[in-house]
Amino acid sequence: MMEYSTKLKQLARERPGFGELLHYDHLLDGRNRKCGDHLKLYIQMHHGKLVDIRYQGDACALCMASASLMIESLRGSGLPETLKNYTELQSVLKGKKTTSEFQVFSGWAGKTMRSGCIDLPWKTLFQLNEPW
Amino acid sequence: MGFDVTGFRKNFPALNRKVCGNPLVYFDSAASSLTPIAVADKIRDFYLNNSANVHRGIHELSEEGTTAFEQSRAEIRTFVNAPSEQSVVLSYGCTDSINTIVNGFAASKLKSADTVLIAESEHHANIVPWQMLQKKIGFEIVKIPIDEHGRLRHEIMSEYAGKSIRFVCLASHSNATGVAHNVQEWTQWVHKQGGYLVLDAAQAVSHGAVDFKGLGVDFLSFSFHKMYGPFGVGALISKEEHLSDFVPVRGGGEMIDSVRFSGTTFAKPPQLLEAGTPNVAGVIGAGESIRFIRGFDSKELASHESSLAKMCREGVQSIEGVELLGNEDPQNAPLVSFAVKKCHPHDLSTLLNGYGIAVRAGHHCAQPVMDRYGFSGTIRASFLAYNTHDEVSYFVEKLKTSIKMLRDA
Repeated sequence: MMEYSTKLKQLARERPGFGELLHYDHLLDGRNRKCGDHLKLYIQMHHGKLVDIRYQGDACALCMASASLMIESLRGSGLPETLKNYTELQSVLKGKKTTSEFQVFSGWAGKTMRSGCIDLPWKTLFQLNEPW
Repeated sequence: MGFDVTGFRKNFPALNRKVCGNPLVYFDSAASSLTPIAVADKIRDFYLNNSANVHRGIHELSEEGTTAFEQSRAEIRTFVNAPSEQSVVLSYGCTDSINTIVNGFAASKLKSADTVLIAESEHHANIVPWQMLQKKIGFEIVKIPIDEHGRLRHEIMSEYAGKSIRFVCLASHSNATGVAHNVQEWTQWVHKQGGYLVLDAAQAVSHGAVDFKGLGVDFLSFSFHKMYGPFGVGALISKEEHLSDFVPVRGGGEMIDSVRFSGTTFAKPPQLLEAGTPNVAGVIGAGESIRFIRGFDSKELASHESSLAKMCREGVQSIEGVELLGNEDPQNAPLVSFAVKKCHPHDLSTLLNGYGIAVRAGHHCAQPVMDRYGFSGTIRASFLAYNTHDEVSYFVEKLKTSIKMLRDA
């Protein structure tokens, strides 16, 4: 069942990682063409490592919560681990039970439109055409 | 005796289903209407008992199909008061009709120094085809601004009078705000400029009589899935004097007179613009949707729908933090479009779905309208005659609950 759990609503309200980076190397724009929601990702790199990342945008609670969780998962992670996390999220959206933080989205498994909201931050991130 | 909504609802089996354990409240008819039994039966009957292609076969099934297909064209002509059956081009929907007008007619009329005026309230289907043609020809596209109540601003008429205005493109009713536009006034004006009026009637056809000849517009387009009919069928209505100026936009069967490797000659409209095998079952179903609507008093249907919209607007605007689009004119399309502070339309729509309520959330394929009012999207509750005042009360109550849930997070 589609459910706005307390954890999800808390993430959407507190928005960890929301804001602008003054010094960034990459600014990525993401747009959900079906609804008009949009995100900006500010990314700071150093010697091939992702040092800091923040996001801004106008989007629904699911998208905001997803962006916050993505940013939390990215801290200290390289590309291989990020891809693993993304696979984990996709598994949750296909109905698989996991122990990960992404389980908060389990109520939206199989819901194509809302899965697009959850996916937007990640699709925006993967526009970055260099590894980290 | 007033309109019998209980009896009317019996035509729509979908209204008996439950969503998330609750009776379905379908408030998304501006996107697509529910289908009555008569229309579904007509399509089913064609597939089960006929299925032959039209206009070619000599055998009985093909003859039957062709007759039913052309009867639909005749129904459409009468329904919108088109000048003749030749002026009714069957299409795959409103968007397809507009693309045919743009590429089959406007392309040969426009020059780089010309101007096309498009209402700011238009949906993407009446903007994008013009922009695509603009890239080839280079004419100017100017928007007709809307005011804070969604009405077209008339100042542009004096500003552009005497300039090379070739087309004015607008919807009779905005799908994003519901606001009705004064079509006749714009038609008279553009004709004085020597131009043409392209009217998108997608939001009008299911709510009352559309009178093509009475409006005086040059072209009219609409889809059947918003008026109790099937998906994938629409119509383009053209003034008769413009028909001979159309060039084909797609080549293939149906639209030819004769084909040789040395060259092809074409059929006359409407067949000229109907290349390929048509959606036969859909067109026959479209004819049935018109017969269905004509079985009721159109004024009673429209009055009922308008009272639902009025009640909903009053209920919604009493909620703190709600910003309504449009205005309260009873001529408007029966829909209520609004944004709620600190509540994203997708989240609200999801919560409402949990109560069995289907509304539209997003930009409604009209992003310029959303930009105009500073929203990324709105909730749109839209009504047809099968909706009830009890449903509206339920919707307003559950909307309040959903807003509270999101705000109390």
